[in-house]
Amino acid sequence: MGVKVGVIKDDVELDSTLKALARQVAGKGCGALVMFMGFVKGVVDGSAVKELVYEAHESYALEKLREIGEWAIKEFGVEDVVILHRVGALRPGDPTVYVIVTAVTRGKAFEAAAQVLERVKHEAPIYKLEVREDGEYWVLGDGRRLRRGNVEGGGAEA
Amino acid sequence: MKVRFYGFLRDYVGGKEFEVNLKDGSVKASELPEVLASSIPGFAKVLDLTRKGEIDVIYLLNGKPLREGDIVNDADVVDVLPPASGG
Repeated sequence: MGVKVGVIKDDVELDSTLKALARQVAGKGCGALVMFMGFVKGVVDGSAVKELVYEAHESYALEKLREIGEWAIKEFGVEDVVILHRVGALRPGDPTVYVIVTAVTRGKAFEAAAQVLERVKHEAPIYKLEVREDGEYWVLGDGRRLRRGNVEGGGAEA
Repeated sequence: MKVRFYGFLRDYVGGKEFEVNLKDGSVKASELPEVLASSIPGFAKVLDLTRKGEIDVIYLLNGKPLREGDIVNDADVVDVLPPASGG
């Protein structure tokens, strides 16, 4: 399979997905699968989160995700890299992003998954609005938040 | 030229999509930010923040990153992207 990427609206059925992937690569000498799943936090800065609304520039996001996946295979020598990012309005506990890596050894799989995730967070054109009980915040890549009411009209507050 | 904004940039410019008519039918890539600032309310503030190094924006021309020597035409689509915040 190599690289598989997606910008998706729905949840992923993990059990069958992971087992199928393991079966596919077992014959290639692989014995490790690492998966990272991000999910929506229920509380941020002491305030309850109602939902996290994701949007993407879909075509460029797919291009960047594929580029990251291909880089990981070359850089770490892993077998498969799957990167699936959700869009739409998600609630606390809902999965947001999946990174799945298969490899011969666990070390490579862990390292590749961690680096892939970092690049996805900083490079893929995907944006999120955090809707909390104390207001709405645009979340920036480095964890900073801009309160929405202060952005409108030209002001912004980190 | 159609100009589309993403993420928090929409709040600065007050909309998602704008139609900008180019005076001579085209503009050099290097001139694009100033053209947007003079045509779209709120974009001057975005430009100011980028020049101060407070935010970065990426320009896409018809879905591909804008390059230094590109010429942007009236029929093109420009996307203005804020820093990524996925995950």
